[in-house]
Amino acid sequence: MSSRSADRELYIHISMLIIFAVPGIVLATIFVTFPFISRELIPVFTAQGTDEEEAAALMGAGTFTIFRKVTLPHIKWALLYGIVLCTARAMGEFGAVSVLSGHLRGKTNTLPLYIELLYQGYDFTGAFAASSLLVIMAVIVLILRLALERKWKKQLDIRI
Amino acid sequence: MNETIEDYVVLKNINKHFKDFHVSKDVNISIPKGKLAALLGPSGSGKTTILRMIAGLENPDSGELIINGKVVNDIPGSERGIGFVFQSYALFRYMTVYDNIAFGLRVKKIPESEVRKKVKELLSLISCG
Repeated sequence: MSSRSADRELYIHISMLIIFAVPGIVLATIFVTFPFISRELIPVFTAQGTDEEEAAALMGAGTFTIFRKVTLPHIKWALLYGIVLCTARAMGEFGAVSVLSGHLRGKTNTLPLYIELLYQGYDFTGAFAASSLLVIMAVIVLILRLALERKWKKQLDIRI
Repeated sequence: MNETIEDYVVLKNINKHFKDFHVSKDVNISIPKGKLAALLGPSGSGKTTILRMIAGLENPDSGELIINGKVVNDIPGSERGIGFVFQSYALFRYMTVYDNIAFGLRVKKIPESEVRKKVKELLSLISCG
């Protein structure tokens, strides 16, 4: 009976290292942004086929070498594009992070959560200031996205 | 099946399934040393599957693959002493011609000076100096 409560204490202790701490925020954000990466990469993987990777494997290249020299150059722009989309999504993430972060100021507060905090505390000026920060970041992300789209299109045009 | 010491590549009772589809059924092939062999058959008859099993890109469900007298079922493709040319050429699109040729040599950790010599030699063979 006592070992069960000791187990439960250990479980709670380990959980607290994740939830109400930065790892929890990271996990929640990965969970909601993952589809952006997979949606960009899966079509590229499907289109390119496995021949080049197989040829490299037959020549004796290790897994990481194959990934670095054969796969990565193929997916470079799709990956960067997906990362930018992930960043945009992560910046605006409120719900999942709100549940897991515990809202500890200075430790596990994110910008969207902080804006809510300011707004609930009737600090409207502060809330709008912080929101402007988010808007500026969103504009930067948008510009990045447009630039990457152009570069990606160029890469597609010179493909064999 | 009579195999002599001259047989370089031997397939013994090879079977391969893709999910429920029995692609290769009790395949027995003996290819003598120094000979040119061709696999002929209609589309979907399993020719590519056999080639890929010899190269090590697929594993047979049962049977033995013997190369130069040695059973190679558990040996990875890169160590079977086999060169494989893909139907699609499988050229490394994002590498230069030089890097494409040098790739296999560099993987084997051959020094760059040797690599340069070998690549130049091969390029001159096809008059691509």
